[in-house]
Amino acid sequence: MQQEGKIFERLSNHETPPPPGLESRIMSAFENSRPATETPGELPGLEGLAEIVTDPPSAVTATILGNYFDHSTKQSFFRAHRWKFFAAASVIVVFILFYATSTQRQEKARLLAGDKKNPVIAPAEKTTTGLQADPLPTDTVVSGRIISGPATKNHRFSINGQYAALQQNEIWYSLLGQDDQQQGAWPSLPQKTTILLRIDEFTQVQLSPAMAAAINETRETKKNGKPSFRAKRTRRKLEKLKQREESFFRIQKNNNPLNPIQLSKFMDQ
Amino acid sequence: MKKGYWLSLVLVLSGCILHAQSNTGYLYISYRISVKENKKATLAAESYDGATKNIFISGDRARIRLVSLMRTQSLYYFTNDQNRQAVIVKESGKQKEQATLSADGWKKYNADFDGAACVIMKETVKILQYNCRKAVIMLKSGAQILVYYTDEITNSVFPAAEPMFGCIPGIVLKYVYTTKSTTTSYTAQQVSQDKIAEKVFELN
Repeated sequence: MQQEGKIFERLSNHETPPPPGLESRIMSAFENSRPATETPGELPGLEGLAEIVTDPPSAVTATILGNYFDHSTKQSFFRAHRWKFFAAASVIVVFILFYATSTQRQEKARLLAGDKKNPVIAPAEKTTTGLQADPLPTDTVVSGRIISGPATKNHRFSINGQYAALQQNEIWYSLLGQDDQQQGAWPSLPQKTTILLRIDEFTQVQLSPAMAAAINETRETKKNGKPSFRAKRTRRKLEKLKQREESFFRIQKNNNPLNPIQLSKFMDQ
Repeated sequence: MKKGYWLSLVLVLSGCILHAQSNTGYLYISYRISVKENKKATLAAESYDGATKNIFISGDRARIRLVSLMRTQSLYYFTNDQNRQAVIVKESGKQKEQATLSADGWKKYNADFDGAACVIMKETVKILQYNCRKAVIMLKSGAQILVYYTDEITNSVFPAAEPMFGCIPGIVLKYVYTTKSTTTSYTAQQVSQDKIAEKVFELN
């Protein structure tokens, strides 16, 4: 049995070429048997298949037509109203931009107000003359705040963050109007930096270095503690200026310090 | 045609929204007064350098308040009161003063600005966040005031309470007056259209 298996294996690998000329004879016989109309490479009988017509199922036709008409309607509606869509979108974009800008603006204004805030309501305790270290209260920034600035009378002001009594509602008098004893309690004003005097939430006055120097001069004393000659001279000069200002802008004279022309007249004198 | 119609509608609507937001009936402006001496420094000029001018407007009333080293003075303006067009109150010092001006008195008080003409220039600048246009107020006396105004805010009481700006088509945020000796400029430091409390307009 094993020998039979080996024989079949040898036979399967055996190869014998055909007699010479047989292959060419077979191929010529095959070529002669094809019809003349048929082109090489084309399978016979396909022309007949092209003439066959078969209707698709009615459900498939309806679905395809429905889809076609729905799509067409949507596209034409968008095309017809595209400028309305554009207009609506533009209004929304403009509104959003404006809202964002106005919110930023309000926030900035609030921050500015918060930064410059100063207590409008006078302290319960009596303020004393001279500078006192008195920290500013923490600011509370409230949305939709109401401006209530100068209506409430303020009895103190701050010099670069330190509080002092505002006497007769006048900075000038508060800085220069005290008697000699009171003046001793006042430290010298810094001259190299700008001095900010805050009166209320909305009002701050800047003191120029030249004016700070003049005010400091009025506080100079001799060894015995009495005002120096220069202090007296400068004080006289400042008091004279104050009298001139009071006289020039007396209300009955119709001179208006809010009028830049009349203010310049006073300053140029 | 349709495109143009819808685009116009968008522009008109946007304009309406922006314009409506810029006029609340309230207006607060704080100006810083700066004085520069062109020649010799004088204490008189120094005493007003760094002062503050505040304008408060609510409805048909206005209050303009000046605070300087030597003086705190308010001007209350009432649009619809012919007998009491304005009240001037000197709030500071030993002697407090107060005067009431009728419509005629108010006119005399602002006689410097009678017949003033405005020349609007092309130049623009930005003050705070507002676009401002330059203009020159030509007074009858020959004096000129240089101003920068914005039309992004509107308020009808502003030019009435500030007759100096009667011919300016907007809210002035900076103005400068120059003489041979000094240049005085008023520059807005803060502008707000928040509500202002009634007590701000009460006479003290």
